[in-house]
Amino acid sequence: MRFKSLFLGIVLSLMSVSLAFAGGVIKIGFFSPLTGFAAADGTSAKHAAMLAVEKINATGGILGKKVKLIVYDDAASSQQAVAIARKLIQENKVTAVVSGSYSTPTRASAPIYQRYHIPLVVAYATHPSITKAGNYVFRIGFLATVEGKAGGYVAAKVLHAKRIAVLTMDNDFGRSLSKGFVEEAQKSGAKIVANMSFALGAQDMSPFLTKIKALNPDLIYCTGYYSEGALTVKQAKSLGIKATILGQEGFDSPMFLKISGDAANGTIITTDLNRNDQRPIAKWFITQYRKEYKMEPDMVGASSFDAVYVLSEAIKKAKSTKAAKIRNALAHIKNFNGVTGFIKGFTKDGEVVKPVQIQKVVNGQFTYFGVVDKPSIITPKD
Amino acid sequence: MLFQQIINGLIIGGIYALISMGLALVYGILRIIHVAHAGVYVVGAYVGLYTFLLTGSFIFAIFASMTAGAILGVIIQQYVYFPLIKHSPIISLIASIGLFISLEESMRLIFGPYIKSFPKDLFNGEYHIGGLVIGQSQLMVLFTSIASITLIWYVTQKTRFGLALKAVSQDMDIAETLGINSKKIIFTAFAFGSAFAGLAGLLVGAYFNSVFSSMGDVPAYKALAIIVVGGMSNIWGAFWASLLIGLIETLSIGILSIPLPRNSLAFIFMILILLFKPEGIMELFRGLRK
Repeated sequence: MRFKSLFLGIVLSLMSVSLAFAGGVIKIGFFSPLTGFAAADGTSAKHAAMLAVEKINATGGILGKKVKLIVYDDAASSQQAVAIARKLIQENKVTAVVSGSYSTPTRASAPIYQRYHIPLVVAYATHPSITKAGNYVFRIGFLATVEGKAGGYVAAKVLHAKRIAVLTMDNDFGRSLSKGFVEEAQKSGAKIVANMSFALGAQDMSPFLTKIKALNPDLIYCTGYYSEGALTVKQAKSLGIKATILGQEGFDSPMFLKISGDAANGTIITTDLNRNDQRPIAKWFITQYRKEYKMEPDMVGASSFDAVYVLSEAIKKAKSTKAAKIRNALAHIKNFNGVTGFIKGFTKDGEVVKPVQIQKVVNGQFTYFGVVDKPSIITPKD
Repeated sequence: MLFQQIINGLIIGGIYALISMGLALVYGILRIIHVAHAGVYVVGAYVGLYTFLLTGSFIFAIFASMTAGAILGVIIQQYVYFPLIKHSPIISLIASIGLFISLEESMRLIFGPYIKSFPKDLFNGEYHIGGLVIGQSQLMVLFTSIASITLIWYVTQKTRFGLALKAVSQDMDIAETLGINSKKIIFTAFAFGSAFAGLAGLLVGAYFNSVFSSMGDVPAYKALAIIVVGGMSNIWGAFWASLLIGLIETLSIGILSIPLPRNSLAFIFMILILLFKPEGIMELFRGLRK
């Protein structure tokens, strides 16, 4: 019975390519958390992916065919993501898949896409092991350790911090960022005076911050998502902490600004999206996103847009919807103009090489502060 | 620093107390593990937030969230728990969990998945007293929880309703024979306990400036741990357990640097209490007094 269904699965997945042709559309699978604690990020990701499909279809589609996005909600759960992977491959017979989800569900389902040879482009999940699933998995967002390293570089070399306190969120995302950060900051001569960890969803940061205040650091690096980040910034201000707070892409959300209010001003983050980017694609995305969804675009959205966009570029280059050809085209993408910057290409592990943006909150808005494009920092090590 | 940490801990403890005292009250009379209490908390937060956005008055928001909490609590009791009361308590528990998830997800469907926040100038400021810093939002939480807990104390200890409540929770049948309308008491108890869950939702929403549909997840199980520590149906046990757990959480992070996840501490404490003093901490205190 089991063997039978496996066999059926393989047959169906082999048929997928030809059926996609027959329908006159190219089906791209998409999964993100649309319910549960991560619903806000998942919705931004979905919006942006839909925007990318709209843009692609408005300019003639791919290979003369319209693109159809097939969206599923994984509720940020790995069990659901695995079920979705099977459904996308066997029932929907998609050509390729984009993950608009977090590390845990993406990590659980990546090996399935790899096994069925369905190209998977990961938008913003940061965990190192995702791309280790195999050569069909690519990541358009930063590897956490790369971004952490860039953060360490910014702290020590750009902001000249000497004494640094680190607040690590205790999950894959937070831990890998902090690891990269601490290594680079220490290498550049800064002293880590504290490294404390808090749980995802933590709201009361005051016990940590009261302790940090007594240590008197000149910079605090925090690896929370926007909610934890905003509350860190807000509570630090109300405790009278004057140190600069350095965040990362987790902070990059309009919600961060709303929750923290005036306390956000002066916060610096490393991220993918530069709000003051003058390149047409980025400007188009930012204006269009505001217009269609009445919201400020965020890094999660920008990365999901790029994931769909780079995939469509690869299908065009491959001149085919055959999985192996798309994979090859993705691997050979060079100098691609994405919303999240000028993408140099993918390493042989499927990791993106692109500059890390530094944004600073000024008058309640993320604004350009700088960019890290030193190859030794932004190139992921194998 | 220690004093600052104690203040931080007491504020969190005060919030826990508002949620768990109502839960203990409800458990006391129906012996139902009312998980949906945390759903009432989420609804209270949204109602309070939107009342504030519409009227600009935090006092109105407090009343609105309490009213919404009370109404919702009564509806749950009348239409879910009451029809199920003849079955095993497990059935009510399952209904309660289902209700909790439905309440949270319906808030998400109505108000969207994004975190909602209060206008940025609400409780935005701090007072320096010597080396101590207290934020306006902290003062607001402290003041409102002290006022509410005093009210709960007055109602349960000094009124006829409080007396009748005690009678019903000790033995419903005997209370009935003594002329107490137990249905009415249960109704009022649900309204009263749920009003404070609604209020707690608003306070937490304002304190952390974030109202979102899944904000009830942690309170849903932590409040259960707290009432176990407090002795299940003991309202004052729940009060002391809340303050104690608030302080233990804050001090273990801020002074002792215990690397355990914060939300596990309440459960470790719960397990210890179940092992050594299953009647709850009030018995522990009583033992000390002797």
